[in-house]
Amino acid sequence: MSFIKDLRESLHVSPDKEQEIVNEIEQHLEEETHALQLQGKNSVLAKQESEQDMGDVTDVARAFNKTHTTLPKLLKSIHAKHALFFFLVYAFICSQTSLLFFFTFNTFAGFLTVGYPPYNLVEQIISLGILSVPFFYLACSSAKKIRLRTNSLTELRTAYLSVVIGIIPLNAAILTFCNVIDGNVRDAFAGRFFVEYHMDIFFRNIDALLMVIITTSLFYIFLFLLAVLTTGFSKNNEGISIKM
Amino acid sequence: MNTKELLKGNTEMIIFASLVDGPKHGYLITQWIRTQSEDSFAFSPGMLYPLLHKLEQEELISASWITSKEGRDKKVYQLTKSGGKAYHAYKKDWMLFAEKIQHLIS
Repeated sequence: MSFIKDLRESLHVSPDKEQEIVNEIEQHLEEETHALQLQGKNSVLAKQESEQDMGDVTDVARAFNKTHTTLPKLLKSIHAKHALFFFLVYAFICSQTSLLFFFTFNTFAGFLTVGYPPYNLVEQIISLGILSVPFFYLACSSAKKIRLRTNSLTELRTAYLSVVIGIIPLNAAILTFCNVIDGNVRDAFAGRFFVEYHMDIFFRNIDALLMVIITTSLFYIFLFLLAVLTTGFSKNNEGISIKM
Repeated sequence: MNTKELLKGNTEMIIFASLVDGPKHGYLITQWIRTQSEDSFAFSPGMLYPLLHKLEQEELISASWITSKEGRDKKVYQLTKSGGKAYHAYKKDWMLFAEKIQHLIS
């Protein structure tokens, strides 16, 4: 495989920037090859030598990727403990917000699909299931965006927020599940709790509330770590840092 | 001479120096360094180009595409005002440092 082809595969920059880099490197390779041919080397050998002279393609691409990431310097390498603290707080806020979303969303979903607030578990699952499709799509496409090195800080925030919004149906499912396992199985199937008891369950029953908070918080942390772990960690003088 | 370690931290200054007498494209910069250092220093292009892009982002050098006589598009770099200032500051520090080292070892 040629150096340029390998370089294209390893570059994670905007398409315009990628083309600009490739043009510049191609131009260099052409000149170097030409110079080597003038020294008496045949074209194949000269091309090979000029490509070898470039160095390791992964290192070159990494250096370009690092230069052209538009993330602020602070985010290029965050200290692990700061990142963890930041996302713990963020995840906690998100899980709390999702609780509020849940009550609104579930009622809205019921109205849209069956014409009234869902009265039983089957209706809830149907209404949530139907409405969750676009949300899941949003979550999946946004999760990919989190990893883009060309993200600006705003884009990173938007992508992360979209993932959070996108998994609301899942949160709703978790909340529904909590209702069911909370000794309210009969009530859940009788379809009464959303209308009559949900406030009681979540604001009087601290165990259920805590479980929901912990579960959803852990889920958000898991999602974030999944995105970050695939990007990598680096060890430097200050300890272990997360590569963004 | 083990130049690799000695070059660390001075690569930017060398690039600035190569652009002091006028704009150059990447290949010319590598040739200039090779010639001026009498083949002692050789900048790998894979190291040079990302560094040029970094300096361009920091607005210490500026870049523009020109079409050569042969009809090829070339990206040429030149020092900006702040790049020139940075170069003179580097140069001053380096001269002082070299003088001290020489004093220490002689």
